[in-house]
Amino acid sequence: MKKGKLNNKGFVLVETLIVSVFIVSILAVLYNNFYPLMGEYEKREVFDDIDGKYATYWVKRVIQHESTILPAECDLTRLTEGCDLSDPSKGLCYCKFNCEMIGTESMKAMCHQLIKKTQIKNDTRGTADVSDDIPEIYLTTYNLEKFKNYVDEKGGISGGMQRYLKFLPNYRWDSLNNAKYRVVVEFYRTKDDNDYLAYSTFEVKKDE
Amino acid sequence: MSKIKKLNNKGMTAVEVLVCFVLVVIISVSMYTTVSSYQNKQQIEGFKEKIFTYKNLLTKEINDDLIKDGLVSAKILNFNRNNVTGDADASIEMVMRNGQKKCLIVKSNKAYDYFWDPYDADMVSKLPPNEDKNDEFLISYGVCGEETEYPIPDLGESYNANLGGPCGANGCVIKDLRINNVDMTIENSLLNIYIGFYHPDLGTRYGIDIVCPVNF
Repeated sequence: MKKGKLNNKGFVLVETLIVSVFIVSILAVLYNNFYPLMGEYEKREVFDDIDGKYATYWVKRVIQHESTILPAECDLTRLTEGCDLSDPSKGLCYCKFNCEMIGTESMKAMCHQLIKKTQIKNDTRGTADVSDDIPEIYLTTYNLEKFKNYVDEKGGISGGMQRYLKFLPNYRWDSLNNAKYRVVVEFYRTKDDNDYLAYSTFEVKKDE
Repeated sequence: MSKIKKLNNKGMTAVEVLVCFVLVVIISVSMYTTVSSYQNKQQIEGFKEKIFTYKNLLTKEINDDLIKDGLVSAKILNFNRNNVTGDADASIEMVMRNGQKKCLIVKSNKAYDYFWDPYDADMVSKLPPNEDKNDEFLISYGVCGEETEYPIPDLGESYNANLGGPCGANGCVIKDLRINNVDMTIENSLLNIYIGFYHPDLGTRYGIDIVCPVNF
């Protein structure tokens, strides 16, 4: 008689359905959070790939060359001051390197060829004159913390470059090679009908 | 007797069983498409990994020499590229600061590709069926005369439509990973070597791209 009081009815269909829907919703939320991670991995394939890394190495070597004279806006103190968001009058947190900063003509020609062959993204302003080249070669401080904040706040660079900067570490500790600058390069790969952007960085040791 | 009667032994109704069955089928089908798409993705990632390993190995090998030993001069020894067949035969000699000469040789013999139509007279005149051959690609690099062979990764193969031609009854072998484009230039004291690959699933995205200033 006592056994008859046990609840042995089981679940009704509606109860089962509600639980199923609840579980499916949880799985869907998990999937939606997990799936973008795969997209993120695919995006990162273009960050610091081997071609970009070697190309950036040569850009760094060109910047470090004795015949390259950096203009005042690339001065390390100016760049550091430019990262101060509270005072916009102090200039930019970065400067763009271009081949016209090189003193010798042969090196200048090689620099233009380097930009062309490594497919560094380049705004030629619609002219055939290579001296108008504005390659996407950003020169900033070795430590990227302030540059990242600056870009986050002010924008002014491509979305892909912003994603790449977020991916990079801050480089808070001083360089073992005593480098004070950092170069960040954006590539626009179009060889063999390709059409995608890639990014790479290197430290730069240049006397002020 | 009364004890047995009080047990729940009603079982499920036909509608309940049917609803459960339909739910299980829906879930299974959706799972199958998801899993099979991931299997395909995994296979493609496997191809990518093999190409990356090969590309990184060769790029690093060449760039290590160019950067550590220093490139003094470079000379393109031969550069033949057939725009119709896509065949290429190119070699370059690079002289290092220590006097050592390093050579890079690229050979690309391509079977007539997927678009070759034996019934198209114009195409047949440009690509005579008896001159067809199996795909053969080879990159060699090292001290001139003692180059090491770097065969490109084998990612599978198929046959073209040249049945009973010089390659046999099945047609000529078309590798899934092929050398698509070869370019070598020395301009404005800058050496550029480009070897582009083609894969049906990956397109022309991956290739070897060496850039180095001469006598920098």
